[in-house]
Amino acid sequence: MTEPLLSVRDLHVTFATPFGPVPAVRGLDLDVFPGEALAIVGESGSGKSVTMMAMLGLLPNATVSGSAKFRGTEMVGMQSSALRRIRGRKVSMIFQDPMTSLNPVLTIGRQMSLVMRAHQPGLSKKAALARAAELLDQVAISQPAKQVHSYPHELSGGMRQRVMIAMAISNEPEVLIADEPTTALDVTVQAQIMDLLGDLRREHHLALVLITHDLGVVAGDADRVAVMYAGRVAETGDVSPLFADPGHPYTRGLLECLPRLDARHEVQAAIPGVPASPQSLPPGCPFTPRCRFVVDGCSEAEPVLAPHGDTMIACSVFA
Amino acid sequence: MTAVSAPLSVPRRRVRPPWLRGPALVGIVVLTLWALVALTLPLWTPFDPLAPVAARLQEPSWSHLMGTDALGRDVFTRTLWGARISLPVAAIVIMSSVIVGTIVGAAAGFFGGWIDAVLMRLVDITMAFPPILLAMAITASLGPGIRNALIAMVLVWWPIYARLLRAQVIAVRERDFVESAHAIGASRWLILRRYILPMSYTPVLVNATMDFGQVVLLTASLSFIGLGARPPSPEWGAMITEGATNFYQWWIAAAPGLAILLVVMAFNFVGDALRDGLDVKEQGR
Amino acid sequence: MPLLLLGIASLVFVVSRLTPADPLVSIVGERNLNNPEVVAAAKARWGLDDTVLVQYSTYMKNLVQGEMGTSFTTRKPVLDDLIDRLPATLELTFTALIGGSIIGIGLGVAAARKHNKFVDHIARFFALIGSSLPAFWSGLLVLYVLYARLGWFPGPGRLEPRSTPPGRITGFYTIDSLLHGNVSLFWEATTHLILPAAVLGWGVVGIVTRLVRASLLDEFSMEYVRVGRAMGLRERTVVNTHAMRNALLPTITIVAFTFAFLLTGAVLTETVFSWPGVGSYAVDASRNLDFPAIIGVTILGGVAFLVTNLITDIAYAFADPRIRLS
Repeated sequence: MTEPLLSVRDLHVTFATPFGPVPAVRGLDLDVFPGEALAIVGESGSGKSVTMMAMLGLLPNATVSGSAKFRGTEMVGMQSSALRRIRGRKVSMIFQDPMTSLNPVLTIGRQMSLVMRAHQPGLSKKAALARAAELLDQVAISQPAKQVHSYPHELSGGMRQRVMIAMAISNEPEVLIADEPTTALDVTVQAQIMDLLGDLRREHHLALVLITHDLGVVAGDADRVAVMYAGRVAETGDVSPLFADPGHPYTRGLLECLPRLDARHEVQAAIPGVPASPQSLPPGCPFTPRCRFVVDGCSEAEPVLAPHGDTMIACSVFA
Repeated sequence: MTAVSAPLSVPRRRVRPPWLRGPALVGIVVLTLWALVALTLPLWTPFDPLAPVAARLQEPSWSHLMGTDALGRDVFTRTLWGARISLPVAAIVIMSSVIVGTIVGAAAGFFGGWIDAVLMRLVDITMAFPPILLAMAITASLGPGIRNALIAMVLVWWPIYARLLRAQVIAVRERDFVESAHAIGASRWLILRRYILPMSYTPVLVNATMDFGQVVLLTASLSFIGLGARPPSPEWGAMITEGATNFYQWWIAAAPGLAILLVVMAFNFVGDALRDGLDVKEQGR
Repeated sequence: MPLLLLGIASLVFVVSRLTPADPLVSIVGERNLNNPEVVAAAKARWGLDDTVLVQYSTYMKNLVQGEMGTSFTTRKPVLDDLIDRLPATLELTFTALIGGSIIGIGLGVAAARKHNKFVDHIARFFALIGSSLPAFWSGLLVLYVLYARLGWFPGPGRLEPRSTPPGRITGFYTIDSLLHGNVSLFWEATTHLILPAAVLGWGVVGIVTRLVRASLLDEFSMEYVRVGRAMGLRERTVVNTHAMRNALLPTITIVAFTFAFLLTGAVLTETVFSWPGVGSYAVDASRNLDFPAIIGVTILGGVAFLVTNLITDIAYAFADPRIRLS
């Protein structure tokens, strides 16, 4: 069994707010293996973005505890200068909104060269720009040598996201975290970007962590999936078994909400209730207010991940 | 909207409104005190601000908190009395400027076309001068005195609000609900009054508060030069002129200067807090 | 732009004719009213016996030729006076602008980086006082403490009372004395420059600090700043390359605004420090109701303002590629 690249155990991320501490992530376990595509699925507020960002040290206002190891090196509590060297170099992250992710007053070549030269000190400006053009070519941007000198506002949303991806892989990282990379894009462009990510993954043997709320993306492009709810993993496993036979009531609910071509729907299904708010969690399993399989034992203790068929689920009823 | 910031649904309750916090609170307290002083002073003033009451050029003491000036008048009393000039003058200047500026700016923004062009040219030309120079020129022309200085300041200040209002009116005019109001037959006047003006007041409010301090400064500056309030008026700028002549009797200039500083700082505090508080609401952050 | 110039001149004309008194008084001065020669000359030159419209066109014609009337107090043409005194003001305002901007930017960056911590509060307070102080009062205060009481700095004026200024090349005593190789005079000019420039500069610091801080804070919440950090850029790079580049854009605009402040402040500061520049000229003129001089300075002020705005617009176009390319 190969060693995981990223190994998260019992991660807690808490924000201090004027209303008291808010636990966004409450004991998360996760593994990312080399070259695989892991999807992290959840609603807003489930903590999926926060997990990755906290791990990389991008949330200075949050308290992070637990363990998150990259290749065996503990990142929680690491010096910010050391974390900086991992960010963009070993573990890269791209974000949702390509329109605002790029600085409007600098050329994209310059921005990419900044990222490269931050991690490869010997690299000259000229060499960095040349490499930037190569990368733009890899992400299928036409006329890369010319585009290197253009400004972000001259590019479309899809092109900008490609530039972000090029920037993210410019230092040959081992993990690429994509936080809702296609949410802000047109559907057709979405498909192109996902295809691009897939190609790059295979060419560079890159591990891809795909944070999304779109189950279609998960089904099409991910190998494994972790479903998050209220700051913890509710279910995790390989994509096909999970979709075929979801164990956790939340996952079942999510899949039931997907309109299907091969079934008739009278009414659009939805999971009753509202997503759990991290500030006011019920005792025991956080899904209890919305779960239709709930029994008394559910409110007593928070369930931990345990095997259920081909997947791992955190549920007192089904595990 | 960004996926990067903490994706938490924090309830929309404010902890404490910004106008009751820290510096803003200090500002409000200070200004309230000054206003009270200005209003009630004649009732309890220990000394006559205009007549000599003691030996000349005395250093500060317990009986004369900021000493006496070259004519034997109590400096502290005169300083307090100065609020009765500076504060009302500033209030009148600001209010008049806002009114004139609103009329001009709203007209320009709402009607557009040549009205806009002509009015804005006028605004541009007036704003092409450093305010103090223009105010000096106008006051000198009209004749020195606090009343003419007031007129001059209004003439100098109104373009700021004209520009502000015009920008607001234009921004609001483009909004959908104005179009819908138009479509159901609301008169232009009604739209202006009911929709556009109420939505424009926020930046005006913030600006006016900050400007209050600046007008106080300008009034004092004009008096310092000899164009505003004239002796024996206890206006702060005029007092500082006297203080300059009696350079070594530092208290004569110190008192009015401190008064100006306190008032202007207080307005700046309140204005800052107002801007922070109202801005956040506007942008829905 | 030329329309504005026209407008400025016209407005000043209107202002000058606002006087309830006979315009004759405002052109020759009370003292000369009894001098038939002077009166006749003035009437001829300014068309005072004609209608207002003719007076206006005469005024404009004269203005274009640089004729702004003769100052009562100095008895010299106003234009000459202005040219004479301009370098002193420029020396003072440039020093205040540059010094104040550097300190202001430094404080603004420090305040933004240590947002809401001690440094932030101190910087903001310092800036606030700078914006709230009446320049003439702080000048007096500074003079009193640092000159009269402590003797650390020389007194008012550009030089010691008995010193002779260097030969005029630029009109800047500091530069000119250096150009003449006169180091002791340079030192004297510089030490005399420090206090007024500092008093004036404090206001600049007030404006610039707040603006830089606010712009930077805006920048820091920008997505591309977060992306930069996520890509592993050093904080220094993030601040200097990403944030500052954008934050400087509104700062350029503010320079024009600061210039207005400087002209205002110069008027008052020059008075307190007996600095023989355009500002104190304006004040003397106001005190003496020397109308030609007042008019002349006002026109100069308007023109200077316009020029600064023009330069700012050009600079902005250079700095912001979005504007450049459109």
